[in-house]
Amino acid sequence: MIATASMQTKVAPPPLRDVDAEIKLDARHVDFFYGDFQALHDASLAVQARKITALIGPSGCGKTTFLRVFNRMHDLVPGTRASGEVLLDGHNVLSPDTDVINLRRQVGMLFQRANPFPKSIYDNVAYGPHILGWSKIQIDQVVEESLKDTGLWDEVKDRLRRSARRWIRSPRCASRNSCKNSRSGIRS
Amino acid sequence: MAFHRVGAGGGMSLPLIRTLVDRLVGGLIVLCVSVAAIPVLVLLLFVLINGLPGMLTPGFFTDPPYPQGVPGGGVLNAIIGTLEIVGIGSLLAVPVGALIGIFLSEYGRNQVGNTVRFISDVFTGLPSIAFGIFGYTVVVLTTHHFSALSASIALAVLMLPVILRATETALVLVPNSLREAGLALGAPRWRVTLEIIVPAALGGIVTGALLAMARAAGETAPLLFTAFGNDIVQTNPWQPMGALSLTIFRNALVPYPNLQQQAWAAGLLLVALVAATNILARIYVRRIQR
Amino acid sequence: MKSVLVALSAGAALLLTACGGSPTGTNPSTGGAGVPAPPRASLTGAGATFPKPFYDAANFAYNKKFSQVTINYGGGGSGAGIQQLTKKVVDFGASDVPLSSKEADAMGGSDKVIQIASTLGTESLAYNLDGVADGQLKLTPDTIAGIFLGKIKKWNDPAMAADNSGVSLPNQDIHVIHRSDGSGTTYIFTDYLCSVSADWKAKTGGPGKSITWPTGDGAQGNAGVATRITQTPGAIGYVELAYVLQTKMKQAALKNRDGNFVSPSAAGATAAAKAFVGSSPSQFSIVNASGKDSAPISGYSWIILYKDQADKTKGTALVDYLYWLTTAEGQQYAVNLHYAALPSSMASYDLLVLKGVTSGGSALLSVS
Repeated sequence: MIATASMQTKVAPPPLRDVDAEIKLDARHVDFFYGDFQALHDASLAVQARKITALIGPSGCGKTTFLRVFNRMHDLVPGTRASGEVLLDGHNVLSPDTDVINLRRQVGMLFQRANPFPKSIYDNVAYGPHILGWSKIQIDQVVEESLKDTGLWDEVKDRLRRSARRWIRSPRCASRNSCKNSRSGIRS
Repeated sequence: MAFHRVGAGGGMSLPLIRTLVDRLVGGLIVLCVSVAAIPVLVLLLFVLINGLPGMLTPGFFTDPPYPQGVPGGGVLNAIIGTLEIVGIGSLLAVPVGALIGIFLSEYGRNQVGNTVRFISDVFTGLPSIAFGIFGYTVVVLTTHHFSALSASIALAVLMLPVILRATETALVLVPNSLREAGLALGAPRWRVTLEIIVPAALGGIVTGALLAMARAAGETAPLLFTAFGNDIVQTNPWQPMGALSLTIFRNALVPYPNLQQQAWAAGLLLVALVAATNILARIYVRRIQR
Repeated sequence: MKSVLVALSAGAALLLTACGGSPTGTNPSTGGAGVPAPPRASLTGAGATFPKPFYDAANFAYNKKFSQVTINYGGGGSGAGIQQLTKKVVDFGASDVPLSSKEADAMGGSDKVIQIASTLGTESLAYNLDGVADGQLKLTPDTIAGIFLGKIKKWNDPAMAADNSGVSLPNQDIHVIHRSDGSGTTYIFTDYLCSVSADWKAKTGGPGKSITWPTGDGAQGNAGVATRITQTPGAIGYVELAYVLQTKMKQAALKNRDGNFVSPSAAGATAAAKAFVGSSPSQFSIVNASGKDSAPISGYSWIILYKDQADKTKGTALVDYLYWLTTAEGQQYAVNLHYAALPSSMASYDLLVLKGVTSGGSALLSVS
């Protein structure tokens, strides 16, 4: 019962609602269920375009659950259910006609832990654009830019084709964040 | 450690008993391992001692068997046969088995998957002669010809459950976060499976395939009425073909000492082949995991 | 591609059979020059294990002579050979006993199959007895029947001692070893017992490839029986002569119909065969033959094939090969391995029936 209490979340809308602000994503009255267990109660949140919005709360209160609703990652967990509305540019992503793959290309996600694919460093960074069907030249460019942005380029530029897993496990690996960033740079 | 000392209220005897129990259990484990390992080692030694002279006979690797009364002869027919029969069998079984394994792991959490799993487990428990009967009934009787291909098909069916279960196990072990990471990028499920999950599990899949091949190479019963055996070097898969296990089976039952020696040598060769396959699998997995 | 190959080899077959028709006719039991060159083919046979060493040696030699033909003889036992031929998965079957009418019916009737005698073998009674050398033990039809009926249980039984004066037979149990699998060897041996012992015939009902044995332990194949005898002190069993000689087992001298004690030999088998004039698949028994040198437990080994061959090329190669096998050239490989050469009368019979093999109505073998 204690767990239930801690998982129940009410997210209040941001106190200052700038009338001029462009709302990119608008979650309205979201309820979320793991089977019979309700994890989110009437959660609402407006996320502005080109602004960083932070969601803060104690461990296990449902932050990640809430975020995962935004690009329908909860679909992957059997027995889950979300109700309410999550409007992305005015379209409800929770409606059955949403193209989930396209949605996820628009709503990127950065996980708490690094998940290097069993591929080379280059292929790890390039996987997103590769999925989007970018050209080789474009991908080369974005890989270099992303790695430069995260300050890893000089360290890895000579072994882009080597396994990323080994690099990340090696003691010389940069901090977990920078490893993460090496892939986050490509997220839309 | 402090926690332990609190428990040791009875003085010094408890750590002593604990040490003794530790030694005793450790000793028991060593004993059990020896009991399991010694017969295997004795068997290997036995095969080595009996098989080596035959293996060192000139022509063992390069000549087909000669009939009684003609000096020399080897098992070239059987070496080629075993490699070809198991090779074709693997070509049939590995892709199908891997695909079924992928299905079970990624899409098989339902009644269909459970049914496939159940059938596969039943197949694993079947005696291998049953696969021989399968090959005989389905291929030999319909083509009216014993053939290496019928043996390959029988072995493929025998290998299938091993491969698909190994593939499924390897894929299930891939952390879910990797799937989510791929899907979160907007990759369709099939691409995530083929481009991320399967490469991540490749070590396990390849190991499973190699182990299945090793098992198939040692089988005799499925070959008796499929490959049939052939003393002539034969590479055409539509024709009857020899195999190392058949050489062992047939030559062990004849009264001629030179042929019996050949059977031992063929046994040693088969053991060596299977061992090499296993070692290869391990090296491959180690390389992939680095 | 495949059809082109077949067409080519069929053409070659016609050409070759045309050549083979040249009048070089020789007596099949002595000649060798008239052997036709076969078309390219791979032949498969299965069946009796007893003649396998002979077939292997002959096949090897035939392939050396005509490299376009490979013959793969897989053994497996007479029963298996007949079964595989019935299912048409082999080109020929081999059996130590000709087809029963029931087996022939399964193949479409006795007029649809032909059977030729390929070689001649004889059986020994091998034993494992310390202090009794090879050939020292003498057995009569009565003592053999007594041992296999379980009536004579000890080696020093009075019935045995009567024939073996001068040999000190030990007070040791007799271990009878017989075949556990269906076997032509068993048929010939039980055929012999039936012909010499009314008691045996009454108790077991008649000869058979596998019977209910009054006593003893079973072992698989000639090799299995040989191994069991070698490993069991006091053991006795019936084994093909070739296996006895190869494994250097001790064999008993057997009293034949004329009252002579003979050590089974290839020559003894030929002598026994000659005592029966007009042997054929329907009159195949040659056990307990008259003649002073005749080995009493002898028999032909048979090759079975379909009279009408579906594949003309294969059929031609098959009859060419089988004809060669029955000539002196083929039979020499039997003699080398302690099988007996076919008597000329039987070789003539074989040639006659092989000439009856057809494909699409035309005869395949062209030797005069």
